[in-house]
Amino acid sequence: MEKENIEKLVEDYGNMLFRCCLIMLGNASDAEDAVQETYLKYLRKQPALHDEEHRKAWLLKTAANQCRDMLRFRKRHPEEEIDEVHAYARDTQNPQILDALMRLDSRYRSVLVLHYVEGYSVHEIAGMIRRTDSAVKMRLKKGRDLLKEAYRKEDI
Amino acid sequence: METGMLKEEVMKIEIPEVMKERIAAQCTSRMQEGGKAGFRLRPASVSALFLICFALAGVSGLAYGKLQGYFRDVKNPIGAVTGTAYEDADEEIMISAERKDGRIIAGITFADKEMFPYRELELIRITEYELQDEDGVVIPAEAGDAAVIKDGTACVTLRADIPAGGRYTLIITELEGLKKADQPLKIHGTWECSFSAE
Repeated sequence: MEKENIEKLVEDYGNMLFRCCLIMLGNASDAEDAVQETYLKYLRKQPALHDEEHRKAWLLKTAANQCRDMLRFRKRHPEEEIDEVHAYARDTQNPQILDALMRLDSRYRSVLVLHYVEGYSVHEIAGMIRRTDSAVKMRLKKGRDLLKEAYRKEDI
Repeated sequence: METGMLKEEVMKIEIPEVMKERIAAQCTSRMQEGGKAGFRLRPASVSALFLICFALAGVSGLAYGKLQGYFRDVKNPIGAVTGTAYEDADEEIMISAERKDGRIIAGITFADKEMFPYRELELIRITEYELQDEDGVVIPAEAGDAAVIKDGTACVTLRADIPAGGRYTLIITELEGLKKADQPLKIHGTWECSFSAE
């Protein structure tokens, strides 16, 4: 793949992948590594993809699995994660929401972002993170409840 | 708090330009390291690679993508370690469920009872779970006390008012392993088991 095509790939999907990886991992350095590894996997495998949506889903799925592998070796302070996310968010009107999100376990963060931010259905998320639809629904419900509770505490 | 607010705030996170440039440059450089053939391996290299992969698969005995559990410190918001959790235990524990005498009996079996941390545990209970009917509707259920582990297996009772007939799904996302004079160990994974209420 030509250099210009790689640059276009990064331009087209960089925001989306960085956002998801930063929220899952809580630090920009790890998020950058995860995004880079995701692109490298895409470039090496050159998967047969039907269209733009298919490519986007493939990249997100690969990024989610990459983050999951990296989380096994994490030893970070939760307060550091919250600070890092704010450093990359522009003009936030409601920073307490990001604070509340980053206080959740990464299992919940990932499904909340994939569903409410990236717009994937329960079934699509289940395919991405290798879980059943029922398990994803449960995780979404619990994540929503925990987020609301954490937001309420942040708002006090 | 509306979930729309979540999207609005998360979408404000942007990748810096300099990071994009770095990633693109790294990817280009690493792909070019593939050698004169560019991104393609020569046939002899491909054959050698397959042989090595098969040999390694035989030695390691691990299937591609096998999930393995790991320990994680649980910290409170100010960073103090409050406990330990064991994550990604999905493939190390098997769950079964059946309806018996008006109760649900969940069977918990360790794939390898000699493996740490399972060999250390004496009791186990279900702490995070959901019971759903065929339509995905959540049925109220209450897990019973911790069950004694014998030979790597334990049976936990759940009370739920479900009529005979129909199929149900029990989804468990957290177990708690107990050992005397030791802190409880939260075990995370996702286990799903369907059963008929006959």
